[in-house]
Amino acid sequence: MYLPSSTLIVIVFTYLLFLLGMEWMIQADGAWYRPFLLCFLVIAIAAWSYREQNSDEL
Amino acid sequence: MSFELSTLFALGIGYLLVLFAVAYITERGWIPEKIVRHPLVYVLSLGMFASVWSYYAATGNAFRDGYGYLASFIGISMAFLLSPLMLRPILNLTKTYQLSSLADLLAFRYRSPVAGTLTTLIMLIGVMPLLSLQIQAVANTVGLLAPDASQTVLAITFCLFMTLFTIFFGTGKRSGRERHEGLVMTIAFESLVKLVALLLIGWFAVYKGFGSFAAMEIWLNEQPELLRRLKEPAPPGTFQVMVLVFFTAAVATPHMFYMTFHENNHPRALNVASWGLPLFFLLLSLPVLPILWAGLKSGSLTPMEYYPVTLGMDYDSHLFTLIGFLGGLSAASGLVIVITLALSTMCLNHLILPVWQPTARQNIYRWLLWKRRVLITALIWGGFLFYYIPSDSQSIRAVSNIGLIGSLQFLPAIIALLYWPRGNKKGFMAGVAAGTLIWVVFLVLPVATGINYFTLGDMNTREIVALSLVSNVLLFVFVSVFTRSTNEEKISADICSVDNLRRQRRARLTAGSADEFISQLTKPLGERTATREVMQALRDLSMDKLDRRPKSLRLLRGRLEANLSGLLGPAIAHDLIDRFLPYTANSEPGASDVAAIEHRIEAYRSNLSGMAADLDNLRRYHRQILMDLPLGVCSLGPDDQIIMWNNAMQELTGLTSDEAVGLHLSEIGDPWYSLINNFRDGDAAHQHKVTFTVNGSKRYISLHKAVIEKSTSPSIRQDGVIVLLEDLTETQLLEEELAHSERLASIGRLAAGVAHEIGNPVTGIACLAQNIRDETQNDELRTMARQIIEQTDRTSRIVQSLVNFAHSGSHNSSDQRHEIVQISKAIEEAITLVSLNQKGKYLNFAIECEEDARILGDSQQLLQILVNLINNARDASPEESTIRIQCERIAASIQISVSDQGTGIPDIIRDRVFEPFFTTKEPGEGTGLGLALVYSLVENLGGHIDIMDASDDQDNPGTRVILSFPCYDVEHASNRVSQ
Repeated sequence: MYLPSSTLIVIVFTYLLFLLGMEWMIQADGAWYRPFLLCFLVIAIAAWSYREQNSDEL
Repeated sequence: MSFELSTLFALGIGYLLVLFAVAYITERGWIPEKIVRHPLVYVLSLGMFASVWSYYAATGNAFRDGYGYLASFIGISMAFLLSPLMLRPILNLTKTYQLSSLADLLAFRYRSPVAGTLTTLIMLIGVMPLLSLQIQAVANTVGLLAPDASQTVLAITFCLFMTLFTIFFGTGKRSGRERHEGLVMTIAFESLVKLVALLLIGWFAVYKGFGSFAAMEIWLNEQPELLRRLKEPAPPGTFQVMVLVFFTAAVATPHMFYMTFHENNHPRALNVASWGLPLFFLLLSLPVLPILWAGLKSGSLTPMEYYPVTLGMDYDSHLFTLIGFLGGLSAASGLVIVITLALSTMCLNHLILPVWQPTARQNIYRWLLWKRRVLITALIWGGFLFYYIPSDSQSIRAVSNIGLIGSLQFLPAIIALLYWPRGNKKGFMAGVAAGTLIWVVFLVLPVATGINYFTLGDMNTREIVALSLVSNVLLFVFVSVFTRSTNEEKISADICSVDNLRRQRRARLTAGSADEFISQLTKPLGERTATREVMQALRDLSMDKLDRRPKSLRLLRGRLEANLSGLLGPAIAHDLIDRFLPYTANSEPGASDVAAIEHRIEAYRSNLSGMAADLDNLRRYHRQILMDLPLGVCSLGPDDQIIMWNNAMQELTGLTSDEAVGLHLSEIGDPWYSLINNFRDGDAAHQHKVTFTVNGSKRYISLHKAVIEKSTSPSIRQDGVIVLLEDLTETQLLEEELAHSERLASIGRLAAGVAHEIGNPVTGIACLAQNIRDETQNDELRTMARQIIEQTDRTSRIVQSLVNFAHSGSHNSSDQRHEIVQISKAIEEAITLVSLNQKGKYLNFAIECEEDARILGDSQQLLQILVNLINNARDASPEESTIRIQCERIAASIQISVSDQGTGIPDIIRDRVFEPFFTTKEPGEGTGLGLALVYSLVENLGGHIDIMDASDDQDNPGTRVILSFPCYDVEHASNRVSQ
């Protein structure tokens, strides 16, 4: 199975982000919008990662 | 607070008219193309997926499940964030094979019309409640805002507008294959309205409901139960199941498939959507919690689902109430339009066309158009009935939620389609049937009817979903592993599989030209449609109608199937093409098409890394060696089809690699076909210096061949013959030239010796004869002396010719004069000299010479050349004929020709006329050194001489001698001087 490097970056980053940030995200006294911040970070890294991806005419 | 029905009606109708206007001005081309085709428009159009369930239901879900309400947003976002794994390969497939729905895709992959029909039926069951839910949401919203209004009337009006819009802008283009830019623009506009409306209401909730963001935080911290519920993890698996359901929905729901793939205008747009759509959903989900909390704070009595609309009413704001209403209307209408369009195509392709097809006499495009229109109407009004008939409005919402779970049953088949070529039709059918049965029996029926016909202990929805999915996967794998795939399925699997290289048949078609394609397809489609489709396919491929190469015809066949697939669905199209444009009986299914494989590897190249990239580089290196080899390489398949044709072959034959590859050997034409074919059929592996004529000139070719034995692997079919062609023409000409030069040199040496040895005695004889003539009075003796003098003069001239010839061969650059010679003057001088002795013949001279024609060289040598040629022409010409002397500048050379109207030079002696002492004149008339001398002088001047017939006259063709010299160019000369 072919895994483009850009997708690999997104997967690894998302995994690490949620692995490290899950506790912080749902802390009882944490701000309600923390999950949205994490999601935004994932989207930002995806936008960066896919910025110049060539179209693979598979 | 409540509204007048007329206000809501006017607003709703006004909004729907705006949608018509957006679609109309887009279709008319009034909006610049760069906006219409911008990736952002595509991203926003995909936002159509966030329909009523996200606009309304999200607030209720957020209250019940806390952050669990994000599962749906996260699920669909994940599908796009990982688009290169699933969406991109499917996009390529759908674009290449014109597949407009998941049913098309599965019918194409599993080569089964039943697969398409089954998929369509499951989709209908799963998605129709969703359609009703949109109608219900619009009606209920109006019911909340104007309690006295008739919801049914409003629902009917809404359905009417939706029907008209979808028919006008979704089926406007006849074939149904094209993108609908007006529709896409409208859906994007709706998504924008929906997003802006929800963000405004979120802002309103924070600042009107709480006063400020900080105040909302303080209020929230005072609600421990709400906070606990918000952050409490969902029961194990619930969140994951929802994520999986919505992940699958990105491909498995008809409306998402339609917008993502069918209306995509460029792969780059999907690239932007990979992060753009998740961002859209993030922005859409952000205001949900503030809206919920503001609604709870206000103590609103309306159901939480409708907070986005009723929040304005709760806080006495007409404006925000209407904004909320418009947002809800846009969320509902967008989905209704796309879902009916997508379902109508599916129903047409997989429910109607398999049993009812138009005849060849009918206009197929019109027939299909009207069927689609009828289907769209039926679907929207079917959705209305589904909304209207049940007494319990809650059941619609519940069934629509459960309906979406049905799409999950296609997840194994979609993954297998791309990553597991072993999966087959039987496995797919068994898996989907089992999963769907569990879904229908244990989820759909109990929710729709309220009766549990069968029970599975205490299993909850999540567990039943998991059970259906596991059953589906297990059966799919088990049946696929233990049953055989057909050849057709294997080819489709290769085409769809991401990791496999596409293999195509290297087989011939029974139809041998585009015209035969038309005549074959006329039987099922009618002449008009068949012609239109074939011409469209030719245009798509930029292919000439007269192109008859097997490779081109295979491409045309594939393109036709793809185009017809967009029109009639893949199952019907495949069946039709297979029946009317079949391969010949000796076709070899699965035979590798090297060109196709190479094309695919080239396209895939940017993805190769590590060992695969090294292998590819090695392949390219070896290929380049073959392509640049100075020997002609022609590789033939077992069916005599040309597989490789390198650059040297191109130079030899004038046939480019692109033109030759794919041709049958016999199609390259003679003499090359006869040459290669005879050699290929012969026993000899080498054949030295075969002589044949191409375009009137003689060629010398050596041939070598190697036979590639058949591979033991059944999947590799590369046996055939490689023929190498070595062009020896130049070598042969050089050899002949060398032999000629050597002969000339030896004759020159001989001539110089003879001239020296004979010249002196002859001079002595001439002196003695003159003495006798001058001193004797005897007339008889004087006459004899004069005769002796005449004969010695003649001998002297011959000797002088020999000396001239000997000297002409020994010229070197230091001896030779380099002056600018004006050709016209040289011609005039030569004619003057020749005219002194016309041998009693009256001849005309026609001179056509460009005044600026000049060469750099020795004027005396050129004069000698011209005098010789004109003399020869004069000798060959009949009385009162014309000798034509022309001089013109052609590119960088000067061409001088001398033509006569004589009998011409026969072909058999034409090669010998430049040989010394060769003459056709009577003895005593010529020495046979004239043309040999001319040949030497022309070479000294850096020129070239050629002889041909002057006309097409069979009896007296005349002779034309053509001299070519490098042109003297004033500009070039001055540049050289300045340098």
